[in-house]
Amino acid sequence: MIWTRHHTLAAGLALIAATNAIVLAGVAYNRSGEPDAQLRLTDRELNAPYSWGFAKENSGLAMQLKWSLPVPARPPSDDGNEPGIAGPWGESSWLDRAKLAELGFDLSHAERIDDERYAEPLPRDVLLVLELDGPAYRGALVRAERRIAALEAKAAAQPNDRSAGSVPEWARRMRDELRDHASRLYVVDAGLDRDRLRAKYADRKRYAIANGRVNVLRTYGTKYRRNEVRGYVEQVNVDELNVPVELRATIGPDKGFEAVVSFGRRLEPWLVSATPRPKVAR
Amino acid sequence: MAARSRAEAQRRADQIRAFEQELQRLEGDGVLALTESQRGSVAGHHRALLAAYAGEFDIDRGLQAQQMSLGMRIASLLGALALAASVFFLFYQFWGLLQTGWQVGILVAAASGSFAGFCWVRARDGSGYFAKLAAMVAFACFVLNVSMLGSIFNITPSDKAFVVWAALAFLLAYTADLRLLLGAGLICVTAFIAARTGTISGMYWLYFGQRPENFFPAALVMFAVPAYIGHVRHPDFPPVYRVFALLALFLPMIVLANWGWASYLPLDRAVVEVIYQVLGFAGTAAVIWLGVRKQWRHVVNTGITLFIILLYTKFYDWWWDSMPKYLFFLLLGLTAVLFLVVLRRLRGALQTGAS
Repeated sequence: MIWTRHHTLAAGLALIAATNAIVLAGVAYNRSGEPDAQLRLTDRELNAPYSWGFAKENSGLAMQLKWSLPVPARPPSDDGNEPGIAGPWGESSWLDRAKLAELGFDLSHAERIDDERYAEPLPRDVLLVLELDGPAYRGALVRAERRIAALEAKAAAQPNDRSAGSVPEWARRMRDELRDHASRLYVVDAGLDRDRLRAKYADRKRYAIANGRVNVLRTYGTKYRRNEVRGYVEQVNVDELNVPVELRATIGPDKGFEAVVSFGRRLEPWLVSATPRPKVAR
Repeated sequence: MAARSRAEAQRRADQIRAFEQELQRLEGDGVLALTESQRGSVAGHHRALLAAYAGEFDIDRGLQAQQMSLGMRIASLLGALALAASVFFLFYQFWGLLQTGWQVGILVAAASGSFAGFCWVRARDGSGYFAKLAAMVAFACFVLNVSMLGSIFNITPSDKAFVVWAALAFLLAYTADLRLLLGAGLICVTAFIAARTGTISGMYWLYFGQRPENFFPAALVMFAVPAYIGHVRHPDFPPVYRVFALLALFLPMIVLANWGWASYLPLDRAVVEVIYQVLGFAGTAAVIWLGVRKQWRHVVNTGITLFIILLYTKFYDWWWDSMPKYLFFLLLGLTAVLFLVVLRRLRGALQTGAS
């Protein structure tokens, strides 16, 4: 057979058509039937991403999922302080060595200080459990209140100590931020088996499962402290949600809104609907 | 004799021009004298050939035309890249104002329309300059099409996109004999194979660059392609495959020879670096030898360049801090002189063998 330009045209158009058909069929499959989870997120959990150099060239809008991690339970320090929440890359209460091993990380050499392999560990693709307004968030609020109480008690015990007396104000501001503005979405678990995770976190209005990445961080030891290996959540793979033009009047930077976000069969999220809500002033 | 590609036609035209110049010299020196009929017969044959080539491939028939062509090639490359960028920014400027159906429709129409446009331009442009522009726009539209569908529908990023991008790039490259698009296709193939290699160890695919050894299988595949698949109609393509293969093989080796911790090998960092230094030096030397033996000038040049890069990076690593700078640069200079002497001897030996 002699290859002519008609063959080229047909092959190219077929490739383009087939690619689009496969992609759109995947989208249809993801959005078909009952969603795997449906969360009601607000402007606290969906932020406009950081705008970079060419942002003004882009007329589209995507909102970024903002999430936190529950921190390990530790006794408050002398000044009453204890960590409340952790963001991406932070230390979490559940991502310990056992969980890292369960997720497939080989930690056999992790504590050898001369093993520089762990300077550049490789992230692994896992399933993350996102919890909305659940025990992780409420625990952080409780810790924030407890911190205020501890600092107030300290200030009351040392009325002449100006530094002790000034501390509760910032603690209150942090509590208010957590209560009124911060994201209530927490990454509370990870795994490789979707069914097992769903069985453990059955409430589909509170828990969504999403694809994401977990990695290992090695902290170098000092004279008094051993090397520590800990995990961190690097990213939710799809953490930017495209805002369709019909929702742009409601969803946007500096707007107060509540949006229904569905996670489909392929665990890919999308914005279903949105309603305005008053934004709490800072 | 019919040429199968523009490059082949151009080479034949250059040979004819060189033959005419040499014939003039031989006649001037009294070495050769053609009869009028012989001269007419040769000139007529060459004229017919050149006319046929010019009609089919729009070749450069003279030195000045060839110099102009170089400028046109540069302009067409820059224009192709600029037009591709323009397509991206044009869509970004307006897509947020459109409903999802329109967004998808425009993306599909742009990819299909630009590809059809490429076919139309290709049929009318023997020179290939405008076809290159159209091909690059078609490729950019398709890349935009797939990546924007991902953004519109919040699809998990996938390395499979490289497969379809590579497929279209190869189709464009082989249709219009375009090395630029072949290079784009090879980059996509390299990225896909490297990502798949990386995921074997469980890593997330997007981080395939963090373990340079992921590129080795792609290098082997690219080097093997011209050995097993004939490129009679595209004689300029095998060098592109081999150069990309050598880059995919030796650039990671250079990285690993300096930063051993990025290796998969369960060995001490210093041991890994020594292994890749030895492999890098031995490998590039072997490649230079192979290039000389097979008369692949592009392989020889790429091998020499990579050998020198590896050597100089290691010199920097070993001696930059410990040596006075005049001595360091003197050493670099002396190494270059030594290299020239070795290559000169090699060339002499080859010329002796050839004669």
